Amino acid sequence: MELRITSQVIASNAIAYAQQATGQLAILQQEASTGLRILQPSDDPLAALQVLSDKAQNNRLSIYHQNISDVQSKLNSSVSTLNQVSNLLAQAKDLALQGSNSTNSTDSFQAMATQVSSILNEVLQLANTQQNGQYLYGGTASQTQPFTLNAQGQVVYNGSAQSMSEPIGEGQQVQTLYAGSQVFQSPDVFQTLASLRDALNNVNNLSPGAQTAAIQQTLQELDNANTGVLNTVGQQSASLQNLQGIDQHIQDVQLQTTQQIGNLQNADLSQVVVGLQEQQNALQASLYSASHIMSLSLLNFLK
Amino acid sequence: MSSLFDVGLSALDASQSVLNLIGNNLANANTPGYHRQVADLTEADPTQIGNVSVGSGVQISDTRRQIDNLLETALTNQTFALADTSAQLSTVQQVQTDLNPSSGSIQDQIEQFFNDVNTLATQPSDTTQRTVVVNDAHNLADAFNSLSSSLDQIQSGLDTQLNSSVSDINSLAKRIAQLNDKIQRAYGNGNPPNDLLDQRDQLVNQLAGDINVQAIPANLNQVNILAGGVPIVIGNQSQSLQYSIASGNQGQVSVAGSSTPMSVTGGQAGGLLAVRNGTLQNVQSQLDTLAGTLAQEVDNAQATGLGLSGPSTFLSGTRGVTNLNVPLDRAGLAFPPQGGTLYVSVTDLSTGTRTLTPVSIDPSTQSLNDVAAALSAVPNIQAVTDSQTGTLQVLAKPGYAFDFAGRLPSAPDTSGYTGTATPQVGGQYTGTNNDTYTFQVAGSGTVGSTSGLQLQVKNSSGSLITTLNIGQGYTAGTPLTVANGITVQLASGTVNDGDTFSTPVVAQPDTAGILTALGLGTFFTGSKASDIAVQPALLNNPGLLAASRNGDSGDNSNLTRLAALQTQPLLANGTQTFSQGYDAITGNVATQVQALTNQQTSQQALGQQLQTQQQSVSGIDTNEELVNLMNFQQAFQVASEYIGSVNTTLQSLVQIIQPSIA
Repeated sequence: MELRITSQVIASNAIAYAQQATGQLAILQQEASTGLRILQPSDDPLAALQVLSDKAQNNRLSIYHQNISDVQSKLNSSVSTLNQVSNLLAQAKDLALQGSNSTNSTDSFQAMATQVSSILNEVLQLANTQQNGQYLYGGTASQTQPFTLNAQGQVVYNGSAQSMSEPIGEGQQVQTLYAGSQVFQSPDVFQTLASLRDALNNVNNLSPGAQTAAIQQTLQELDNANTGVLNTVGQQSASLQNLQGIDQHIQDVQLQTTQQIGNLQNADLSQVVVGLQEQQNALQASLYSASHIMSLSLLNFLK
Repeated sequence: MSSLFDVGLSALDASQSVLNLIGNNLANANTPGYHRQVADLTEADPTQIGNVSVGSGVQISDTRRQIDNLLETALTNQTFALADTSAQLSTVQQVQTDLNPSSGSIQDQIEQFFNDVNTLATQPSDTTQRTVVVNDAHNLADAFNSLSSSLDQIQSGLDTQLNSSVSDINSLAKRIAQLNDKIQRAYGNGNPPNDLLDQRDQLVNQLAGDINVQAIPANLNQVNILAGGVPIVIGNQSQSLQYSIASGNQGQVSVAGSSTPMSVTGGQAGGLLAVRNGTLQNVQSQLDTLAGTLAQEVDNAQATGLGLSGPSTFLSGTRGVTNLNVPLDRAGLAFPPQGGTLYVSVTDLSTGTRTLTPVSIDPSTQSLNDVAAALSAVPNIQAVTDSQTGTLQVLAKPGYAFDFAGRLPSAPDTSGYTGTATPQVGGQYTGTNNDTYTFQVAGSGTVGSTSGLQLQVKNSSGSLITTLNIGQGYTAGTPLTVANGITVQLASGTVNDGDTFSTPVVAQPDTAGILTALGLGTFFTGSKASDIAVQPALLNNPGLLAASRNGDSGDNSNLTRLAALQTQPLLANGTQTFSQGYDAITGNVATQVQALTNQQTSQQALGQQLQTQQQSVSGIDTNEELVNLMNFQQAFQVASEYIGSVNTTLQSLVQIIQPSIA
């Protein structure tokens, strides 16, 4: 049987078509104005979850990136501090070389001793370098001044034997605040400088020959102390180099993830605009046809 | 002769009735549920005049509704199915919105918390950043609480709807039973009661929209109704149903007065129950698991670390038992402890001397009172229970403080040691398992000078870890590396062959999980989404945040443990991180929203199609009615004309025969 189409059907169909087209228009308009095709997870559950997890990952990477910057600034500061210490130790070695020449007068020995003494003070100050309220060489006891002089005028370590490591990636850590006892006291930089100073001052009243021998002995010790300090510089420089690579990788991953997020959730604007036009045309056509069909009535033709 | 008038009159009558019908159709053209009516016109019984049968006009034999019952049923079912889908969809959409607010979802907050922990790890003593971390946790707990209460509200909304759905079912069942009675009587009077049958069909259809029903024709033109397999209408009797919430927070429909749930699978009630007992409960319980696991893991780390002010002098548990005297695994603890060991450190505040005492915990035999007694046996601390709250309090004697960070004791156990050279074990243990290191002297003599003097280090299973030279070549008082971050040193003096000293080395100070179970020094209170909260003491003093394991203010090793939780798969049998766990909840709900939306769209399309078909049979087309109107108008006019002619004819006849009458 032929389907009987009544005017009610035409009216209700016109309403349904118009609603469909308007609904589509609303979605497209939302996409056009937000630039996003996923506004709720149900719009595309798989993509939405991927976007959520990508965003979380990017945020985590941002923190690791920040931590790397913090670590880099600590390590850079430490490397430059330790290079200064190394330079001071080289100066001390020059003085020791000068001192091991027995032609020196008592005055010049004393002048040299004063210089070594001030080098010792400078090294002590450097060993107590602080950055943002944290001592660089106190290990985990970063709030305590690591090196102080005791009653006997000896330098003692008050920091922790445990160095501090900072998280720079998932399960990745890098040492930042080194234990000062490891950096400056194996072998002991302060003790070496103090014995050079004492030898130059000849506190033990040694014969000139024995004094020279004592001064010469510190030459090797100074070399060892310098090597100890430079060891740390080497470790920290290696860390810095490594960090650069890690940071670069983080930025690469972030860029890639950001692109992926864009691909997943951004609306294709040209498609949206074309779609808007299409739906608009469809709505117009449906309203136009409905208005014409519905105005058709036998009554118009009866007179 | 009068039959001439009768014929005309029957035509007038019929036309008038049909016009009336057309008028009624036109008047109801837009009335919902109205079915077009048509008149069946038939010839009136002919009159026999002699041998000739003469027609006697027209009559209306019937007026019928244009109705296709199958189509009507399909349309009703579809309408209710659509209403059911829409009800489910609106609930699930609401859940989705609650799970994913436009900003600051729980997933964001979890990530924020751990990210800020990682930032704090660069400067663990920074008070501002500590406050940030603690506030993150506070906001996260708040978000869990408010999401949980939103879900509760959705649930009670569903309960209200289900209650009204069930009372709707009850009133429909009652009316059907009443109609059964009336229909039976009407048939007894001999007439098929079409109106009543229509009404009953309509009610059964409505009932089908509420719940899965089966209508079974019975004797005496009655209909019996099974809902969810249970008879709710038998003849003229109806059975009321009730909605109740059974144990395990399961909503159920049952026969009034019974607690046996019916199998409700269809209609609005079925849809609402599916959402309530299914989706909503799943989301709630997944959320509880997430909040609970997060609290438990973070608590384990917090309780076994050290804050800025170091060891405590008093701690009060925040998770209570239901009974102080029953074994812990039956005492209603949300995070039940396991058999294991709790290492208790007690520090003498005046000397700084620290002891480390293991306390065995066996939840299958020990009650909270037993645990309190075991803790009180540790020198210089005391543990008491509170019968009101079921919680445990630990307090140090004056001049002492305690912690559970598992640090090395100040001095090793020297009960097997006879030498004069004081031994000292130091460092921070980096191993992964709890152990005891035993140091045994091989050879007798003076530390640092006797040749061949050695120290053998063994673990608790007796395996040799390392052998160290403490004789000639060793400088007394310098630390020697053992293993896993541990060092040992001997002061100057003598040792004797076979001398031993030992120390526990602790990686996990609480293998029993008793601190978290009892909420002692934990990060959070509560155990599920609805009640999780940051410990008030920690909220007031972020310095209590246990960043350290060795007690240094700059130590971040406990933060490292905390931060590692961010990416550890601790949920769903070790397959999901916290953040992924939340995503999974969101994903399930989003998939349901998507499926229900698609279902709704297709049901709407089907509805439109059925509507068109139904209108095709039962709808009013005004043009069609107008044509019919003109048709019967003309018929009326013609009949009038006819009666006029007959009248004229008869008058003429009267005039002809009048004189003879006169």
